[in-house]
Amino acid sequence: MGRTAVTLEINAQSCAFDLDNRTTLLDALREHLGLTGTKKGCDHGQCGACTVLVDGMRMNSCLLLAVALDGAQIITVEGLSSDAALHPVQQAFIDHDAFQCGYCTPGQICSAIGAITEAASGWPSAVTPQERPLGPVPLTAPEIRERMSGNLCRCGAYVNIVNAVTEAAEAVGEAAR
Amino acid sequence: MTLPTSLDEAVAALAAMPAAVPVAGGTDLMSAVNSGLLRPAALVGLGRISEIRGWQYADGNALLGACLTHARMGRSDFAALIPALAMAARAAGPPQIRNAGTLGGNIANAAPTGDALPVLAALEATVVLAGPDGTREIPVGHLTAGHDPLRPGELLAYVRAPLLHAPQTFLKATTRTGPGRATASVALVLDPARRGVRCAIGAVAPMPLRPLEAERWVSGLIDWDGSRALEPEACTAFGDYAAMSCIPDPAEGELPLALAHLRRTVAALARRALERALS
Ligand SMILES: Cc1cc2nc3c(=O)[nH]c(=O)nc-3n(C[C@H](O)[C@H](O)[C@H](O)COP(=O)(O)OP(=O)(O)OC[C@H]3O[C@@H](n4cnc5c(N)ncnc54)[C@H](O)[C@@H]3O)c2cc1C
Ligand code: FES
Ligand code: FES
Repeated sequence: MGRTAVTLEINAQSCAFDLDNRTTLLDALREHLGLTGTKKGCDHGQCGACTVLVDGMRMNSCLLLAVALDGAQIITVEGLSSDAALHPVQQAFIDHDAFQCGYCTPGQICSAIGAITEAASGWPSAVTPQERPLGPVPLTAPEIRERMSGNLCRCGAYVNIVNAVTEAAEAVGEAAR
Repeated sequence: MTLPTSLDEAVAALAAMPAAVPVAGGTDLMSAVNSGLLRPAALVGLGRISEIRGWQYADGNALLGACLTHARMGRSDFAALIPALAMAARAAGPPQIRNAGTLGGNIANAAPTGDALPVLAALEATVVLAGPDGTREIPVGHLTAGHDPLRPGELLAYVRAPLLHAPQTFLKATTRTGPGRATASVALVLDPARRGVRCAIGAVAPMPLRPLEAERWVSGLIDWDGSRALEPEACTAFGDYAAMSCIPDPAEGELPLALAHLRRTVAALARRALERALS
C-alpha cells in the first residue's frame, strides 16, 4: 500500500508529512512528530488514552487514518496551555488530584474539553432527560460520568476526575460569559 | 488513499480499484486493521462527501446520508424526526466513537450489536445503494443478512426512513454502566397511520428479530383514535410474548439458564419500551 503526502495543522503549527497510508493519527503524532503526550493504551478505541481534538471534536486518534485528515486542525494535550497558563481543565485536574500515574490524563483532559463543549452546545447524552428545554445541558455528576465513559482510568481516579470536570465546566462557562 | 468529494467520484474510485475498501468513521475498520485482521490494499475515504453527511426530506420520509455520525443523529433536531434512532445513536459506544462512527458504517458492518439495526428494522427502512450502474433500493435487512450484498463498486449512499410523527423508544441492556455493547436491545415505534406497533429485538441473534405476532396482537388492543393507553398487564404480556418469540423454549428439556436470563431481559425491555411509547 502506498504513501500519501498530507498537511495537518497540529497545535496551530502546519506539519507536512509523507506517510504510509495505514498510519494512524496516534502513530503520526508519537512516532513522526515526537508528541508523546497522547498515549496509546489499547489501540482499539476502548480506553480513550489517545483522545485528541480534531476540528474541535474529541476522537480516538488510534482509530483515525492520518492521511484521511489532510488539512484538519488537531489539538493534543501539548497544545492546550498558552504561555505559562494552564488550560482551566488542566488546572482543575491538578487542583483536584484527578490522577495517580497520569497515563490516562492527557486523554481525560482532551475528552473533558470535548465534553464541556458538547454540553454547552446543547448536545444531549444517553442520560439527558428526553423532555427538556433547548440550550446547554447542565453538567451534573451523572452527565459527566456518562460523557466521560470513553476514558478508562486504571488507577481509579474517577471520583476526583468528576470533581475536576465539574469545576472546569464552571470555569469555562464563566470565561465564556 | 483517495478522498473523493462526491458520491459519483467515490463510486468511480471504487470501480477503478476493486480491491479498495471504503472507510467512513473508521471505528470498526481501524479496530480490525490495528488487530492485524485486515490489511486493505487501498482505501477510499468517505468523510469529505458532504451530500451524505446530512439528511433531506422526500415524500413523508427522511433520506439520511450514510455518513451521518452517531453524534449528529443524537442531537435534538434529529431526535424530533426519528426519536428511536437518536436514542440508539446516543448509546452507540463512548462519545469519541460516536463523534466518528456513522450510520452507514453501522449498517455495512452488520454486527449483531449494531444499535441502529433494530431501529431500522422496526422502521422498515430501506437503503439506497449507489454503484457504477446507477442506484438501487433494498430493505436494510436484505443487505445486513447478506441476501443481497453490496456489489463491486457499490456504496451505501442513503437510508430511507419513514417519519411517523408518533412516540418511539430504544432501550439497551449492557454489561457495564455507561455505553457498552448491547446484550439485548429493543426498538419500538408506533405507526398511527397504519394502526400498528412495530418492534425489533437486537443483539440476541445475528440479525434484529421482529416479534410479528406479538406486534399484531398488541396493535389490535390499542384504541388508536383514543388515549392509546393499555393496562399494565397488557404491556407485561406483550413483553413476554415478544421475548418468547425471539428466544423460544427448546423442543426438549429446559432452556439453558443464561438464555432464560436473556429472555427475561428482553421481556423487561419490550414491556418498558411499550409502556414508554404509550405513556
Ligand atoms: C470502543 C468501541 C465501542 C463501540 N460501541 C458500539 C456500540 O455500543 N454500538 C454500536 O452499534 N456500535 C459500536 N461500535 C462500532 C462502531 O462504532 C459502529 O458500528 C459505527 O457505526 C461504524 O461506523 P464507521 O463510520 O466508523 O465505520 P467504518 O469503520 O468506517 O466502516 C465499517 C465497515 O463499513 C464499510 N462502510 C462504511 N461506510 C460505508 C458506505 N457508506 N458504503 C459501503 N460500505 C461502507 C467499511 O468498508 C467497513 O467495512 C463501537 C466501536 C468501538 C471501537
Ligand atoms: S489507544 Fe486509542 S482508545 Fe485506547
Ligand atoms: S491516573 Fe493512572 S490510569 Fe488514570
